[in-house]
Amino acid sequence: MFFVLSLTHQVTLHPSYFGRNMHELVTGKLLKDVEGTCTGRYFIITIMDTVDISEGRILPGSGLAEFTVHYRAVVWRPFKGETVDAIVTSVNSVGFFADAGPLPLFVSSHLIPPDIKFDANATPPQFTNNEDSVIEVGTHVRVKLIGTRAEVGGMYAIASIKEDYLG
Amino acid sequence: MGKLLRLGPQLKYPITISKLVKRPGDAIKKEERLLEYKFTWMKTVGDESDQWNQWQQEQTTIAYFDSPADGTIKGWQVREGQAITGDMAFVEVDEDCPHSVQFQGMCGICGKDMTEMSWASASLDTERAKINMTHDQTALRVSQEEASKAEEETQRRLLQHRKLTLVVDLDQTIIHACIEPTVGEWQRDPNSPNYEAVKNVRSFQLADDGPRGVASGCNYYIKMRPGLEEFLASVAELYELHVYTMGTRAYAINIAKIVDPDKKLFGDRIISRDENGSMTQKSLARLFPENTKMVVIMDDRSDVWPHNRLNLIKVVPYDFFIGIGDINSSFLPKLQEAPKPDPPKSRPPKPETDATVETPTGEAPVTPQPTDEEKKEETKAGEEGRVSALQELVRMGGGDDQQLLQEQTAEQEKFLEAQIKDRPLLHMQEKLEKEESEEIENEAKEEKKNSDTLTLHPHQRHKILNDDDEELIHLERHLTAVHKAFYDEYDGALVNAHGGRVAQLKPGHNRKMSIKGDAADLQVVPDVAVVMPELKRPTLEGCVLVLSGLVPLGIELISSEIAMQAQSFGAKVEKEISSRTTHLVVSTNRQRTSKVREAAQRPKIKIVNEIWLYDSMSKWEKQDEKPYFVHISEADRRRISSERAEGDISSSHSNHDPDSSSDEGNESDEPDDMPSSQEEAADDDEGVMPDELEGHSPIDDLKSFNWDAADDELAEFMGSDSESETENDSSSDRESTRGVKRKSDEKSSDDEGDDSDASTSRLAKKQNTAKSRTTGLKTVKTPNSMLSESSLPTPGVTGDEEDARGLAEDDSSFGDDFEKEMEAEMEAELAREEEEAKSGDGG
Repeated sequence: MFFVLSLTHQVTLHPSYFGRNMHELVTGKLLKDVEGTCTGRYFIITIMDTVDISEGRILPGSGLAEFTVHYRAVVWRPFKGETVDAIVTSVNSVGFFADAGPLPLFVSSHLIPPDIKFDANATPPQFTNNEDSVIEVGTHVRVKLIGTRAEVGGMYAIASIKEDYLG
Repeated sequence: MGKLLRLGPQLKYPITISKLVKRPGDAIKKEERLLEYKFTWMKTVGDESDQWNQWQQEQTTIAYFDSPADGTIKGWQVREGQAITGDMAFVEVDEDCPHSVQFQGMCGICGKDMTEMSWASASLDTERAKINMTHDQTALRVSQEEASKAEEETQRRLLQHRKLTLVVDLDQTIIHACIEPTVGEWQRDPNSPNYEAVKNVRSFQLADDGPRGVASGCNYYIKMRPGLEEFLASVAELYELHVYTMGTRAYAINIAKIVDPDKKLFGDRIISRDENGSMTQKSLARLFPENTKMVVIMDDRSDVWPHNRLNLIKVVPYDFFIGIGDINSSFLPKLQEAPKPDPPKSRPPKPETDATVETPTGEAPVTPQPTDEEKKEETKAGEEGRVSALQELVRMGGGDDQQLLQEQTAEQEKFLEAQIKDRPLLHMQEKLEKEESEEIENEAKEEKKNSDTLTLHPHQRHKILNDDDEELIHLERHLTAVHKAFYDEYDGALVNAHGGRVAQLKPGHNRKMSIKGDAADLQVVPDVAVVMPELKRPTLEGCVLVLSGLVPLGIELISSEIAMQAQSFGAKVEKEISSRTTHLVVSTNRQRTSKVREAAQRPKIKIVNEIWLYDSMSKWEKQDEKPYFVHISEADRRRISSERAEGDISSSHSNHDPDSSSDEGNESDEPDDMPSSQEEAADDDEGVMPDELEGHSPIDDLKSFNWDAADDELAEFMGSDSESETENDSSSDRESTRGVKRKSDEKSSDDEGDDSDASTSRLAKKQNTAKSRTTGLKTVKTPNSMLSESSLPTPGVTGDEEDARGLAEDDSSFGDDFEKEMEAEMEAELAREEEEAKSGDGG
């Protein structure tokens, strides 16, 4: 689910950048540092605006200036039970992998409706019920997250398409 | 089928079950109370500060057992009031989820976190699914059952389509890659002599390869093995193809794109070192954890498949960009084989990567291949020593050592950089051209090169890249043969199985199978690892090979690559030439070893170079030996014939014809207890040592020899050992050349030629005479070896010889009358036995 959050971030700036457009630089650096990262609980999708940039404080010893930036950002936190759209990246006999934006997820064959079977002979390999639904690399799928897990650099999810309106 | 939960060893047994909290049919959750039990124990009570005022008191405690699993209780296996003395299963639970598919530590079925641990959990849930069987993911793991289920399905599918699985290596098997910029230049320059050859070379850039210094952003040049497309297309009809490479994933995918642009052949079945899990080995179990019955491997290195040798078809490495080797091989264990023979087209050997890297960048690292045959040998010999030392290191370090990994990565980087900087190919071409303009002597050799290149411009400038490789044609034939043999057997078995009666008699066939029927009787599927060796075996069946100069120093013959291979083709490989020997396989680089000389005495032993062996193994049929016969130098032959003549005379006295005498020599040597590898090595290294002193003689008469006298003599000479050694340095120049000779092969052969050509030379004769007299030398050998424990090529050896001669000369008072008779015979054995004596010394 998407949220708008007020967040803070410490930005350090090299002395050579000290000057009139310092605040722009700080904002730029903030974007570079923060956007697209995963904190472990949510992904920071985009920064809307900076609310406040504190006065710079010179760090003793290094000469770098540290700014505390308050900003608002759109974040996405995948929840258990949430339904998301994803694009299939890889298909194998155990299930398929898909990416929902920054979130890699896995749909095991147990969570695929029983009529949709794995077909290894097709090129590329696919899950299909021999009618309308074909799941192969690049297919758009709508899945429901049934478990998420966060690690330091990213999050992972298990998803299902074994319900109505999914697939 | 429920899962049985156990009490676990950590409880304080004996315990008594006091209450079962849940009934069968109840749903349980993790950490929920299942039962109550009580146990008694002794507690120390009383005044803590006063140890005399303490006593033990029995206490009874009630404790609870919490569920380690989610599910429904199917039934208790204990009852209330039961006393339990040890760990046992106590309840059967129907689990909600077997957690058999896990992705990144989550169950792929229920989505729960598998890495969680609590007081109640008996074992880590991640342990339940640890098999990694998908090609492109390492995060996905499945359980044993799941894996075998998936595999069974694959097998059925393959059987239905009458296919097998073929795992294909990339580097040097179906393609050859390099990053040498020169290739690109040649490609753009239609006038380049190599233009024709590199015209079809494809290239790509790896963007996502991470920082790599100079090597980043360079072009990879890929040359497909000739006939690859047709090969793959036809093989794909019979096999499902998988790629298994030690390159990175990005590399593998790019190559797959080139080899198989529409993904018809390989699809997504590509596994690279990123997913492999081991940097040094490939294993079929990574892809086919349960069952490798239908898998054939095709690779140019057999040492990376330690567990799947039987499924492997080893192909001759494809070496198109000469001197480049395998760009991804820094991670693999170093090649065990002696550097490749130079196949008929005078292709240069594969330079060992590490040797390359070691050289400081100042020198041109990738040995700019001297077209000169001899130079080549020299460099090779130099490299060999270092390589074997490094081999050991690598082996000791194991594969998964982090530091080693880093080293190897660095090594690879360096290797790549070196390739870019030093441009071995360019050097080679330049060299080639220079030589050409300078000398016309090499003409003949160059001709040979040219004749098999593309013949469009036969007499233009010469080129170093040749596009002439037929391996795939043979391979296709083999693969078809394996496929046919497999399905023939399968069909046969299937008929039997359906015949019922026969099937029941066979132990492996159970009822289930006959019910299933149809084309998918997994029980009767034959095993490729059985079928294929059957096919290979007849190739060299009945051949007893002795290898000479092919097994590097310090490697056990039996564990050497070439011997293992020859054995898989049905040949027997032996250490020593004996009456059973049928072929002597000789390295092309050293054609005059003692074994050659020995074998030359036996007309039925065919002396061939190793190309015969390689060709036979690559074509899976025994090649006619004729074109491969090793030229035996005239001198050797002459010696042989003269020996034979003399031998006839002497045999009337001693009843030893040359064959049996050397056999006997063999046997009598064995108690000497030489480590076989050393012996091998010694043979290889020493080259030819014809008329050296003799350790002991097989002639029985000598048993009665006056040993005491000999020992006295010996003592005398041992005393003056140092003297004789120094003397020997300056004195007879023949001796000193001999000492030097041991160190240099080339020289040795020259010298040798002189010796034996002038076998009538008085000096040599004198020596021979001397030697045949020194029968007490078996004892000489021992103290001498203690004195000089150095390895083979030491002056000590020469000193020994000197001793021998001096000894012999002084010895003349003995005047044994059999010495003349012996002389002829001794000559036959001298060389070999002497060497063994030497290696014994060395060892």
